[in-house]
Amino acid sequence: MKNPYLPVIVKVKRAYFESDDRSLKTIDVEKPEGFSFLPGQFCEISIFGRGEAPFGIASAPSEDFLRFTINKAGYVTTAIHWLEEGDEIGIRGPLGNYYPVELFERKNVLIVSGGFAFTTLRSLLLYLLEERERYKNIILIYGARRPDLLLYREELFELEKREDLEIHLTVDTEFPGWTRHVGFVPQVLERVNPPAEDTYLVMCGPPAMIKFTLPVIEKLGFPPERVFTSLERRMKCGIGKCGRCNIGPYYVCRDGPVFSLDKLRTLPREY
Amino acid sequence: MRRIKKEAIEKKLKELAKDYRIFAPMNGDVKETGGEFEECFPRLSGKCAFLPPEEEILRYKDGKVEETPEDKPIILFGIRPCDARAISLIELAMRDEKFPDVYFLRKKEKGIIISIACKEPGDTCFCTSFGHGPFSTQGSDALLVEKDDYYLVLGNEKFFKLFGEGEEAREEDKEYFEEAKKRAEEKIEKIPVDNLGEKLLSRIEDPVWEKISRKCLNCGACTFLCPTCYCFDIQDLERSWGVSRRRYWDSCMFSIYTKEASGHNPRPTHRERVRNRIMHKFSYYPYLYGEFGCTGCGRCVVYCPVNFDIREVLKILGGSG
Amino acid sequence: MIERIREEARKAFEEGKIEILIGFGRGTLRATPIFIEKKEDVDKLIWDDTCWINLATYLRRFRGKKTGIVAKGCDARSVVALIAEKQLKREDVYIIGVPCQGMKNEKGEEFLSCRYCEYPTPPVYDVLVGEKREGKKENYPDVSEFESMPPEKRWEFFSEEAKKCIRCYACREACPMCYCEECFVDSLDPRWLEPGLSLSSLQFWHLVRAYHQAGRCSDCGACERACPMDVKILYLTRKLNKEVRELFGFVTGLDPEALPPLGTYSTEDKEEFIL
Ligand SMILES: Cc1cc2nc3c(=O)[nH]c(=O)nc-3n(C[C@H](O)[C@H](O)[C@H](O)COP(=O)(O)OP(=O)(O)OC[C@H]3O[C@@H](n4cnc5c(N)ncnc54)[C@H](O)[C@@H]3O)c2cc1C
Ligand code: SF4
Ligand code: SF4
Ligand code: SF4
Ligand code: SF4
Ligand code: FES
Repeated sequence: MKNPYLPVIVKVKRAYFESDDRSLKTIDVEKPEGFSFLPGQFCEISIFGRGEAPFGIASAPSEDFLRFTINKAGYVTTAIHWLEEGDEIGIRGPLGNYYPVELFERKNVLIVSGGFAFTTLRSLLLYLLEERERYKNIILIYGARRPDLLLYREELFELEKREDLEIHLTVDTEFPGWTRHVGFVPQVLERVNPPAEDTYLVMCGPPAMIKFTLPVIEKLGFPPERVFTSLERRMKCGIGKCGRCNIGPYYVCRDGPVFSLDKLRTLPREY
Repeated sequence: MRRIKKEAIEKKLKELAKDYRIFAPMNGDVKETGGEFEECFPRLSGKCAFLPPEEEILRYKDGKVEETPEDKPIILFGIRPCDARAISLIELAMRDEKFPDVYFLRKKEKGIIISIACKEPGDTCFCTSFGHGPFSTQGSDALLVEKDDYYLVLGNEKFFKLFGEGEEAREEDKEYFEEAKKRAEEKIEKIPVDNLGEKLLSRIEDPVWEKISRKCLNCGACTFLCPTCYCFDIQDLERSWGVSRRRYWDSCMFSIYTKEASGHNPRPTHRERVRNRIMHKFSYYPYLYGEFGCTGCGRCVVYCPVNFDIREVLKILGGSG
Repeated sequence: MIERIREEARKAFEEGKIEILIGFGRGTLRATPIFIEKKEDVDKLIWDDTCWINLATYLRRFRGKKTGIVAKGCDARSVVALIAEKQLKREDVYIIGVPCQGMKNEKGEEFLSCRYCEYPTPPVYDVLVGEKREGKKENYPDVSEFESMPPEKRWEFFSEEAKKCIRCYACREACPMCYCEECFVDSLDPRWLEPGLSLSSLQFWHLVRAYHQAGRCSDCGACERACPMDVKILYLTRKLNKEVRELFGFVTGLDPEALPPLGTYSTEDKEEFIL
């Protein structure tokens, strides 16, 4: 019997702050042998002596490291922020399900995101671009409060130059030197007005963004079975055993974190 | 059916304490003993043996992760049949091809569970509601029925190998068994549970939940004592030699159980928490595993400080109360 | 008695004094808390010697609503203590006081807290149902008995009781005064005590819980009765209440204006313990 509670020890290859206020830190860690995953999956990161917490994988499946970007929120995340290059941590994974990339083939894909929830969407975006010809139009709409809170922005600025990809970056209010969109994600989405036809929508963001984006999505005509989102719930085991992350009969850690809107509508609103 | 002298079984149990960890009812609770046991309906159930209140799940030592070594196999003796069933219900959640709960399963696979039939069920028992009863064998390697200075035994090979085969039961033993079974079953209140899972699901937003749950203190006593509740928390303890990662009983009745780092709580009040407890046992469990997650042992009824009576709740929600 | 309670409850609804009433109804094993929202339902109220839950525990859930409570002496004192700690507003709570005859367990034995109860009659109420009852004036004889034990014996007793605990926190949740947003046992940073059932953790839990109640606890005994494991915990809070009375002359829940001594600072405080 393989013991799913045992983490693998890996070294931190790079650790750096994403945002000016140092609330977001990215760590790139060694990828354990045989570790294969799809975009949307997550890992439990162990800081031994402090505990474990779940984080979405931000690296693409083809990259030779695992990337996580961590918002300083509490006990474990604070300790993750102390990490430096060369430190050892434990990881368990990949855990959970993934964005239904099989369904996206020969379809348009629209990615809508806000704040640091963008992590697994970087993974998704790079994954889709690897075999670009399998998909039709790819559009990304991504916003944050300030430019420095946009994750992986240098990389996104590079990707903006590509012809086969439409990227809309936005910040909440004007900033000196900022030449892209200004406004909240739902407003930009409305402005961009992407066609719903033949399109799958993937959406991750803070609760407020989701709340105000949902009516826009509906207006644009996306049917709930083609809208996917990744949920967060407090987690411990990450493997459907400790009980706490259930929504109805599904465990977010094991059967999620990715759910379609139409599935969510059949479940108690416990997220 | 076999018959074995009580003395022989008691003696054997003490001998086995050398190679097994014996858990049995003692002073009112199931606990580890040297082979002694007491005839009672224990307050802390048989789950203590297979899912203890506190258990190490790994060690971190000298930069390496180690699985916690296995202890001696377990004999759980003298519990009621409902508690044996309860362990098989927990097993449904722990057995998982992709992510098996190694620590529970390795104990369960090597362990032996011996229950004693419940000839005098209590006023709060409702086990027959779930198609089982005070003489149920589900989850037991052997079911013993006391008769004079003998036990009548319905057992499997695992049991007879350890405890001996005794002698073939007589015709009158079988009659005794059937009669005692019938008498016990007749005493038990049966609560209608037909289609309960679906009924509950269709009432998930029903205002009745607020009414039902209001008096609940969200204290967790019901879930800690429930023989089928298995939820746990995981925490790291620092030790001189490294880190011991452990799990502890936890409960969906607690507000911090689901409270996130941001302060957001998807189950903010007693309403959502009580609903989850009831739904998990009577709707999600049947949906996921085809069985209700309750044995009808009545502990949550007896030990709830505010007399939250799950039987009444089932009657209301199932439409018969 | 029951009729008088129902009558006062009905009147309170009719006069618009309350929107909801917390009282006792008939349960399956004993009296159970009920929440009444319309006057037609007041006939569901009962009163007997199994009404041992402290109903003040529920009051914070209804903040901002005019809430009635059927309160025996100790419940009413908890209400007063909650008002003093600014958890409730006096004008939001309507106390139907019931002079208490003493509560009993399943075997018909009177609980310890009732046996020595000094305030069976609510000291503060909006309406009192029935004749006032005199309390006992024995000043914690059970605690004195405990104090007279040699220290090793006391430690042994304390340890044996703590050992029975499974940390379900039923005691905490049954207590009207345990309302902290984050209980010290749940805090990770700082982590005051380890999780689990080691003796030292259990002892710590029991001691600190009791300390947090010093001079705030009304000796209702609901915590001990809520405990599924029959752990004795009242002797600890009672001991501390006795100390607070002797050191500061303070008794919980008599005056909604009076803050508990350990929550206040006064230049008159005794300093004997400061060296
Ligand atoms: C599938 C998934 C992916 C996530 N991806 C990311 C990510 O990429 N970047 C990021 O910054 N955050 C992510 N989170 C949120 C992150 O897990 C929490 O912020 C983190 O657990 C907080 O831990 P803490 O110990 O610092 O907080 P504390 O409040 O001190 O929490 C203590 C424990 O509670 C649990 N916990 C508390 N809040 C959460 C929560 N929101 N989600 C899950 N468990 C929680 C953890 O087990 C944690 O160890 C993700 C959560 C989930 C469920
Ligand atoms: S009766 Fe209560 S304690 Fe017993 S199994 Fe059912 S839910 Fe659990
Ligand atoms: S009822 Fe609650 S505590 Fe019990 S197993 Fe279900 S989720 Fe866990
Ligand atoms: S024991 Fe009773 S009060 Fe406590 S959580 Fe369970 S139902 Fe609620
Ligand atoms: S109610 Fe009893 S068992 Fe539960 S935490 Fe309190 S003392 Fe411990
Ligand atoms: S985190 Fe344990 S069940 Fe999902």
